[in-house]
Amino acid sequence: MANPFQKAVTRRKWLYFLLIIGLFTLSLFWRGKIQVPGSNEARAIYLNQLRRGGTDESAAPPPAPNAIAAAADWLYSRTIEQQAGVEALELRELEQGDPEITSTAMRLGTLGSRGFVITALWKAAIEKFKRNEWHEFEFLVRTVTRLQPNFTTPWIYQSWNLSYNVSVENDRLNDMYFYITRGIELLAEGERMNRKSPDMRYQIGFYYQNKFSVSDKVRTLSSLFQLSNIPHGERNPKLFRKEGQIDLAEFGEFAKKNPQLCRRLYDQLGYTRPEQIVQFLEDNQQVPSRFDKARNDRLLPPEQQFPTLPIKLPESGSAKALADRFRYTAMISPSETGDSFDAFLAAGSWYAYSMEPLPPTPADQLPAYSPKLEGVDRFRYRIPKSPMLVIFRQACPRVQTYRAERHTKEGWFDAQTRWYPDARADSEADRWFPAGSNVALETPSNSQIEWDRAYSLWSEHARLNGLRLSPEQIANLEREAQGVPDDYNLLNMDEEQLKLRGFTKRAADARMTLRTYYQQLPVTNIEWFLASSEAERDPIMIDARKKLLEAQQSDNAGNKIEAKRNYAEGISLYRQALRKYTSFHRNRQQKAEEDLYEIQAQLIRLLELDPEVDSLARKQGLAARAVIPGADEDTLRRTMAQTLASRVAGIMVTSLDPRVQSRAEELIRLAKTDPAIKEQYPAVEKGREALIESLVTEKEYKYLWEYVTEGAESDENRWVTKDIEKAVEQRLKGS
Amino acid sequence: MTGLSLFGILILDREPLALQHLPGLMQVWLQDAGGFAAVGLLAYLIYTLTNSSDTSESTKLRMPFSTFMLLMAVISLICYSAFLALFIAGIGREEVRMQSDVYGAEALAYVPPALSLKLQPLLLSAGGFFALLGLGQPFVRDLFKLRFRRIYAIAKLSVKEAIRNRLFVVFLIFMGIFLFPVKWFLPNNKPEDEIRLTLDVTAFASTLLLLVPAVIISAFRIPDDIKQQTIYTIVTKPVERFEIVLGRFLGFGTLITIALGLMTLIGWVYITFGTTFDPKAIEESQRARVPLRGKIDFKSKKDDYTGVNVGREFEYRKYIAGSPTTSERALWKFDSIPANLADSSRPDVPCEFTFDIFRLTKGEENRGVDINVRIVTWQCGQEPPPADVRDGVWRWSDPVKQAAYDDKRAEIDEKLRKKEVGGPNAPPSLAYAKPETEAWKLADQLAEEFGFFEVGSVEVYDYHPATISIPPGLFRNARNGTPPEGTPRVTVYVKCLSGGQMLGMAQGDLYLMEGEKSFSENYFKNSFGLFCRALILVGIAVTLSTYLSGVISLLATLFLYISAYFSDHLRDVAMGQSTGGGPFESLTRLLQAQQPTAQLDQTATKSTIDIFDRFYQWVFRRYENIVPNIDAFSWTNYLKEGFNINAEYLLVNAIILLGYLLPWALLSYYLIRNREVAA
Repeated sequence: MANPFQKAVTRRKWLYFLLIIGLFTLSLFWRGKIQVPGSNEARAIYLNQLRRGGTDESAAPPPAPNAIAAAADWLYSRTIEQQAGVEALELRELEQGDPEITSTAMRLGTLGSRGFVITALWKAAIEKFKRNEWHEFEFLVRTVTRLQPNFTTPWIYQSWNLSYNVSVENDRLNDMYFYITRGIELLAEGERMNRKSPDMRYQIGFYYQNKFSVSDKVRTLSSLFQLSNIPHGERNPKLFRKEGQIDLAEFGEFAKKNPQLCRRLYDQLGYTRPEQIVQFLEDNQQVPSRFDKARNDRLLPPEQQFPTLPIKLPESGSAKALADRFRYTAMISPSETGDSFDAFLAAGSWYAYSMEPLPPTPADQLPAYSPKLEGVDRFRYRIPKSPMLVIFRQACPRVQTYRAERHTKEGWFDAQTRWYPDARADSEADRWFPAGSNVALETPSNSQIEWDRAYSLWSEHARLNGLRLSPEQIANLEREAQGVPDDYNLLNMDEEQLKLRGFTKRAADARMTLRTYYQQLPVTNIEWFLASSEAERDPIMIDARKKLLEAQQSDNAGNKIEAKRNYAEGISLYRQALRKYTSFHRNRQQKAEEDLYEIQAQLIRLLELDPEVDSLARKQGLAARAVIPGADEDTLRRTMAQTLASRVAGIMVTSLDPRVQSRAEELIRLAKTDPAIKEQYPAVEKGREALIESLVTEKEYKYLWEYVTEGAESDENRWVTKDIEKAVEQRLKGS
Repeated sequence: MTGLSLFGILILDREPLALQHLPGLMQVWLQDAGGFAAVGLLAYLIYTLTNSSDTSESTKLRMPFSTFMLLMAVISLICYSAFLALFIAGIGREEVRMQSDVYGAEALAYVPPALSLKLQPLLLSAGGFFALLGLGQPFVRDLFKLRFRRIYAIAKLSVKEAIRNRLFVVFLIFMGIFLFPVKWFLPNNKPEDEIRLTLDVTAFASTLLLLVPAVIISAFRIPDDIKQQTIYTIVTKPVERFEIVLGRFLGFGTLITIALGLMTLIGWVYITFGTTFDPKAIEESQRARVPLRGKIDFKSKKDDYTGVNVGREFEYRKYIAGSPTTSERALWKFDSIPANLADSSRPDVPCEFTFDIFRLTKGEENRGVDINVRIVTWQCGQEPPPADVRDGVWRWSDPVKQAAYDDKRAEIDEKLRKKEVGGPNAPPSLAYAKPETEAWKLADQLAEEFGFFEVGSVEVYDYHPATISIPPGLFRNARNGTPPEGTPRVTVYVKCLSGGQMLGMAQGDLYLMEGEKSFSENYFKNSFGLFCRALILVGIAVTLSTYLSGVISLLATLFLYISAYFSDHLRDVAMGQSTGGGPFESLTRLLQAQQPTAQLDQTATKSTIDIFDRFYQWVFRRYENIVPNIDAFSWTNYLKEGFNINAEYLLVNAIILLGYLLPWALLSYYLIRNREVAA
């Protein structure tokens, strides 16, 4: 028999053992490893979702059958595993993005001195940058970013460094292009490791948009971008050379397949001969590409392709609509990209992809400041760091506008647009196609389609973000907000505090909405983008742009007569479009007016050089000198020529106005039956042309050169206000 | 006349140490090593003299003391006292040179030490010399007791132990990974950069994989022997203590030589016979140019013109303004011309250059800037235009000769136009003559006769080397006779023609091509630098391990070696050039939230801080003295940019290595002698 001490020891051991077992078992429940009896996992998950906010009512599970089950659900939902919601929190490295074995090995290799190593490498990278040792700089920044792959700022900072600061140090454009691509690739690599960052996706889109649209060397850079999208086998210069000569048949096929590229090289970069284009292909054979040269032009793995494109695109929500427009992923085949694929489509795809982690828009509601992820699933959505949310959201329509502008600039206006490479060929060596043929190149994309898409994207953006309130909506809001001051601190107070100050929450919200609306309108510049895309897609504007481009080309080619005629027709059509779209004309951006004045100045400049105008100006100058003997002859002649040219331009442009044309037709018709008309309009008898000239110089359409409508001779009624005239004149003098 | 390549850009903001720098280096070595020796000698003498009566015989043997040592110590002390007196009196002081002779390189350049005959440095050197003699006397005496077979046995043992450790084998296997094509790890690189990048990566990997095991083995071996008591099997035999150190050092050195030899050989086979490299990369990278470098100068019609600083952070280059009428020129002066440049069998002498373009306007799309290059000999002097003349044309000093040249040139051009000379494919003018043509021969004759050759316009791109051909006749003219004192034999004048652009140049940016050597030879020469660095590391580690434990030796060695990578910063702190002041001043600024560049008020606190900082600077200068100058042993830039590594530089490397290791050997001699290792 055991003595009492031995019994106590045994009891104590059993107690300890049972306590251990009990606490361990309890910890299994507490940790969520064993489900609480009577609970339901779906209901527990839903409970946690409710706590976080952003639940989908339709996906709610049936309620618990009784109070015990509800209590068990509650208990289970509070377990560690359920609260942590392993999937939802996505804290594990694998859920941040693609695993990368090299960077993991490198991190481990620093043996706990990562901070020190990164600091030293960063410093070394700055030194390399100062010394223009770019390839070493790139190697170092890649190492630095890989050592801290989930810190997004260095990825963005260093990719910017490569794409902007390094690339701009290179004179040779293929070198510049190379470093732009390296910056974009670096950021795309970072994005693959950080799948939840809207900022990184946005920045990639921004680099594409910015470097290939507004940079100084955009014409060459966008051509190199196109080369990156053409398989090596199709642009191999050897294909186009046969026995030391250019194989025109092969070259012609290339031109037909890549009309936008060829036209840009021809029109904007002066590569007019086939030999020059082939040389361009040869000089830039090694540009980064989407295709594997060594493997029969198969697509490279997504991470090695340039242009780098998203692996996937949003499949639901408002972002999906954008992804339907910008649908280009790394898997897309070359047949789907083609010659009309440009950096803007790549940018658009990244922008569409960047919208995926954003919280839903306030669709069809009123504008709002950047939300604080309240009422939405905070584990699913992110608010970008910059730019402000509403600007971030308009990236897709913005890039679409850029694309449309590119088409306009490059002369691809509508479905009827054709480009004749041999139209200006001076010799056989200049010809792209055999003599006698009149081959026209055409492309499926054009500015009319693109502007139409831009308009629809801007409209949708305005609708979804409450940026286009009707007058009634504004009046209602004003009514509701009456008496509430526009004080940001006050508007952010809670209901109780507002009540103490004598305001209702509803009224304060209405004031806040109006405040936001009036702030976001100028910030987003939405009115201009809507007005311009609406006007630019109109056939009248398309015709105006066509004529103006033709005029410019004729002018450059030395065909002044044709240039003058085309300018006059173009200006007339442009004015018609301005009359039709008053918000485009009288927009606070004033761009439409500035453009109009510049084009008119071009026409006047051409007319000043006209021999008739010149000789008349000389005569008038001499006459004037007789009155003012001390005046400088040349100055007088120039002043007279300007006045005369302006008058002639006025006649040329206003004569083409449909109102004048129809009035002339009407007067000719009436004159046949009504002699009073002949009396009132003696020019009727001299013919249609004379009548039109009299209408625009002496009669009712005299106002038309300067004013939009008759009667109101105010500055507001001018085609171009005096202030803008002065500003443009100053600018033109400066240039 | 011109060719574009991407290579040949060697930034020489540190002049490589050559034989001409040896006197200066020797003087500095005497001052630095001698200074430490003086302190050691003093401490040693005090110790031995104060413990002479009651110490055991064995201790006396370990701590020998001689009259010679005492005499040297006294002489050394006299020298240092004299120095101190002169220092206080401010007599015979040597100004520290912070700026290199290289014009463009300002604050960044490493300035090789020059021999100074001023009293203070001479006294310091003398003091150091006698201190070294005194401290080195027992060491030299004992050197004669060393026996090669014993050293060999220990060295052999070291190799065997290291091989048994398998550490090197593991590292060699890792090295294999770095020999795979770089494009596997870093895809989408520029094809022409491929070999350069491969050389970078293999150099980095070799350095890491050679030095890390070397230092680990060296730092742990002697302490392990002592810890495991295996050293008793040696020290109980009639072996000189220093033989253990020397044996270990030579053993590890042999091991490193084998490992490095293997790595270099594999690397060379891969680079030379690799088939995956882009042909452009092979064509561009596998070169070893032998350049002839001149001294840069900047001149214009203004007397005080020294080039323009455009505000780039990297102040290596100075700039000249571009304009067709500018008088600003960058000059490269060549004092001596080797005979092979004037060799008549040579078709041409290429002149390569790489400039930095600083744009004030956008310029033309996809175009560089145009420059004019004029090469003249001492027989064809040039003068800038007078200050009051608007045009920027440099004229010949001898107008009659210039007129004769113009006439002759016009005559040749006329004949070329008429195809009377120059053969059927004669160019319309000498300006278009290309080497190895009839017209080029005429250009050569003209250059030889007048010592003048000019390339009207060459397009250069930012950081892209370009080449022009110079007729060898010009160099024959240059070598003919003796130029007046101070006049270079050949001068190259560079002018920027493009308006609104600045052209940046440094001394190393233009050179004449003397010839080319073998890339393979260069590749092996490059390894010598790494070999020296490894020996330095082993030397330090073995020395420290004679007294410290393995881990502490390792850490101390690494600390010393790694701090060598921050030598610029160390130098700034040691010389008081650091932005924001010394550590105490920086701390004050931090606490007071002041800008590093803001001027501090001259208060009592500031004066106290300055005193502390000056003391700190002194400590740092001493520390800087013992940090190895590893930059002097780095030749990868030469290799990858396609420049021959001069054998002279390697010889100086070997001398510096010896100079650096000698004080460490002396230290290890005393440390191992005084280490209690036997029971």
